[in-house]
Amino acid sequence: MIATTGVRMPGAEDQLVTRCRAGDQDAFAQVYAQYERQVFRYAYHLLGNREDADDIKQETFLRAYQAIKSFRSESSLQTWLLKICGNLCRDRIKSWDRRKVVYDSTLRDEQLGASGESEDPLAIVQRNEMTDTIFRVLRGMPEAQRIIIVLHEIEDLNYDEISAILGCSRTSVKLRLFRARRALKERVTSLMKPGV
Amino acid sequence: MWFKSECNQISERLWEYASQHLSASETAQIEGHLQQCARCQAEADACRQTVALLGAARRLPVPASRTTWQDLSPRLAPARRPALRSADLLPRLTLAGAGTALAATLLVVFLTGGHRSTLAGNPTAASLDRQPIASAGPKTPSAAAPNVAQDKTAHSEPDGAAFGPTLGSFYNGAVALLRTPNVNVARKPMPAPAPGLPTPHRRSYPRLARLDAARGHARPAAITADTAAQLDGGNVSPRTQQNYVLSPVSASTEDETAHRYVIGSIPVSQSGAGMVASSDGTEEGRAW
Repeated sequence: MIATTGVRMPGAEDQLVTRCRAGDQDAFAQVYAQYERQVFRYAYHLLGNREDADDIKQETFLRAYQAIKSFRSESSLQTWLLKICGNLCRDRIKSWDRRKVVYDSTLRDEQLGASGESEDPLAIVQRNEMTDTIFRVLRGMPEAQRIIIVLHEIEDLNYDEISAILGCSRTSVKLRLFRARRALKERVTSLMKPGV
Repeated sequence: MWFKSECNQISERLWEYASQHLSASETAQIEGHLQQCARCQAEADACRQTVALLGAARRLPVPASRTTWQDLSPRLAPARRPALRSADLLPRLTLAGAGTALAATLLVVFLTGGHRSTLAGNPTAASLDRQPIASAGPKTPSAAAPNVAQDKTAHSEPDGAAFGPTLGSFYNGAVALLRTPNVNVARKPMPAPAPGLPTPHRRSYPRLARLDAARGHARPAAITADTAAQLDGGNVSPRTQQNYVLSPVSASTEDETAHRYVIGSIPVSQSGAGMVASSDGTEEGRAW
């Protein structure tokens, strides 16, 4: 988890943006190195698999490079990139819904040994089960609620950053988060019932 | 009912309670209520379960991304067209300007030349309609065309050959189209009247005759029974009977054997002298 308060460093980031607008690819490489992990995590939690998260991450930075001249520095680069990533993930999810793609937990073999350490097999199995449960819960939620849960509860962003990403007011973010939590609670309760 | 309002207040803060974001006093207050309220206790358990799951998701190790900057950088360099130099722009602008000027000149010449020939006094469609019909023949488009053809040759006009073969033919065609009289081709040609019968015209006899009678114009046309029958297609319709006044005459003379009709209610002399419509239809022609 990347803990960030969303505090902008006007000087450094503005200089970076100015150089990117001038076509400096080295400056954009710095932007890529700084934010690519967070963008990948966000896409991974929304989509649930590494391949799609990779595609969305690359597409996000490609779109950002092409549209860097229209970036007005009203929000931080992080917020802007996550907004692009969220829109691309939403489009990808919609295409899944059209093609009736079903989430298959048996394909999640990348979780084995993801930490790079030798672990107890039982712990691995338990972790995989937890992972499956998490993604099953998230995939069962409406798209808008899933996004706000991931942004606030997993990526740990504050209300102002989330409102900038979603393009809504702070009050709207609070209301959406309240409804998303209630829906998440109901879904977890139904999944955790014995016999389910 | 204060219990219900307290449950609502507790319910709103259960998420922060489960996330351990409340102070010690607030936590103690909520735990005191949970010990008394089973419903709130169940809801608090659900909140704890959900918060724990989200905590696990937060700590979940995310697999490493397989794409790097080296995969992205080739896609970032778009193919750029070489910028146009001022030396390259000048001949292009000159050619474009010359083409525009030539097109504008041709358009002005074409419009001016066609407009002048129209204003030279050629008969227009409206003037053709107002011309009196000199002949007894039916009004047909072909009958009107010779007038146009005669007028056409009466004026000198620039020939389209001056513009070249292609443009000249287009010019001549456009001029001919402008000069074509406005012939109502949808109108049926008038049938040729039988000898001795009044000339048929566009509008019905009875209405015009009533108009003329009201205005004190010429004598209403008296139509014999045979005429009326022929005009009505062999049947004397009730409308015709209504409009015509049958005045039987003595059968002594040959001319007076037939019933004579009078249009409207104006009586006619029994001799019928001078009351028969002329065969050439001049009375009708003069009347209208």
